[in-house]
Amino acid sequence: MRKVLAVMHKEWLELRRERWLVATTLLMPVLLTGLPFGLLSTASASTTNLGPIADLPMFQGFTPDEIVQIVLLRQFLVLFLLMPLYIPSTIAAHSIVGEKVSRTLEPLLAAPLRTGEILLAKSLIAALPATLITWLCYAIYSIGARFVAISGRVYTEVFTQAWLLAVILWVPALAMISVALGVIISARTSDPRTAQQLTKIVVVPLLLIFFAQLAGVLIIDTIVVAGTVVPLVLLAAGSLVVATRLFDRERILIRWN
Amino acid sequence: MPAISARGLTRAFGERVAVDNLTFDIAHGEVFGFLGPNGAGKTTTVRMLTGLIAPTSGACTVAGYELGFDNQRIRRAVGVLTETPGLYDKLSAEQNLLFYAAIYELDSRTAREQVQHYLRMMDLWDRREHLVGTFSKGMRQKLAIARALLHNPQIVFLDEPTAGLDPEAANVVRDVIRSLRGEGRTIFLTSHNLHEVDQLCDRVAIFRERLLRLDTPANLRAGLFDTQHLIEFAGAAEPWLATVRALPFVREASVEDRVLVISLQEPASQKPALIRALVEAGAEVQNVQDRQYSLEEVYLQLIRDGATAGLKKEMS
Repeated sequence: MRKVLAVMHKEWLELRRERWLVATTLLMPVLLTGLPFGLLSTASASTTNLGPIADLPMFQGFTPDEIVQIVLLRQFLVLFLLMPLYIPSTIAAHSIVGEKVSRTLEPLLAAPLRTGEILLAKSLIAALPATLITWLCYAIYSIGARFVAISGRVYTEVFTQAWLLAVILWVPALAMISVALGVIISARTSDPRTAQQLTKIVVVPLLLIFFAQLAGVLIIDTIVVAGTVVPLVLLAAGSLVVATRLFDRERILIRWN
Repeated sequence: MPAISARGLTRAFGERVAVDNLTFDIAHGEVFGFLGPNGAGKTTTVRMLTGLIAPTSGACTVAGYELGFDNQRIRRAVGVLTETPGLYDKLSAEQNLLFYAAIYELDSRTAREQVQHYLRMMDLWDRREHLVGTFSKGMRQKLAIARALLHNPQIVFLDEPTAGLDPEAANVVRDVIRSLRGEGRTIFLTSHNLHEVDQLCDRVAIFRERLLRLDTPANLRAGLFDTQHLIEFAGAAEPWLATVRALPFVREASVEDRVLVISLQEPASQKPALIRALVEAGAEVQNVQDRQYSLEEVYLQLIRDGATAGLKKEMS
């Protein structure tokens, strides 16, 4: 474990000095957290055509302005499940591919480090900031929503215990899955640039959650969250194991020139 | 048991054989020079011996551990200076070394002591807090060597340790190699600086996809070239050419730049007779010396022979 912590410490020191990477990584969370408030300030029942949504049973008893706010605030909640997919893929791609580009990978592989130790450290250092940033953004979003919401009913309707649980429990698992899939892609590509591009694509299948929720196919309640946490954690662990098996040190050393 | 023992080590990349049937032993405490032109397979060999890539066939033990089975132990037992320094530009010199000290599981106190020791040895102590990205090529190379030595490995692989260094820095590195030798460490040294190899190495392997020759620098010279005696006279050398050629034990004689160049059948025993014959014939001999071949001449000859042999093999 000491070696894993050593690699993580080294990665953290490097990450702190990568200002451009930090800036581009933080841009999306900042935008996604701020955007809803901008929209909410202009959206109201008089400017928005609610159509049949207003007649849904779940909105019975709410005013049209409250319904507009509930719909908007809820839609943006899903974006907090996208952050842990996007952020770590950028950091992980930089972390793994960057070692090869800067020619530091060979001395690292020549040291007594197991592939699992390298990948665990690099995955954690990518997943941890992603998780913390997402949690922080969610906290800002929920606190900001308190001030923007036109009634307490709007707030309690959107920021449910189920969503809080989902953000707390799903986000770390999704971040680890994203990193592991990024590593798998990195391990199977022949050059660093391709790996960097493909690690972005890896989040696409995981967007299914986003669209399923938007389409109403997936309703996030406490039962759904509790029932999916263990499979997600297992998927994250399994992805990391597969990534470790597929990470062919020799191939990467020889073919990534 | 030798420090390194390779038997039929071969590595192919698809159709291309990069290292062909390499067999050698390196004794503990030996400084072993590994010479070859660019693309000869030197780096592939170092990568195989350090467990970075697997051989296609053959077997090898490094520090008593079997390659392919004990790679983790091999990596722990050896120190490697790779072809490029591979340092973290955004970390300081000290942070770079402390990171590797942790990877080699040195305890905190030992790590700090070792880092200080090697940074001082490499004249980098005053720059320890500076980012490596600001370092010159020579400073990077010295820091990478410090990294390779940090955990006191018994076997050290140095791939072109003085390449691109200014004479002063190169001298520091050579002194380090000498001191490692004094400590009884085994050194596997690849270099294009043949004078350096000649100075530092106990034995030298000349390699081009396969082992062309392996011996001490002195034996390589003796084995490849006849001993030639160079004789200078008070006057011209040409008049004495006929006298020398008439001697039955002279194999070849010629004049190069007013100097008589002679090859004898048995140099050690026949040289006095040669000098005596010349003096008795009236020659005023001013100087007699044996021609010293440089390792570079030996190397070039062997590489040329190796290339010719390879060409013949391909044509057949």
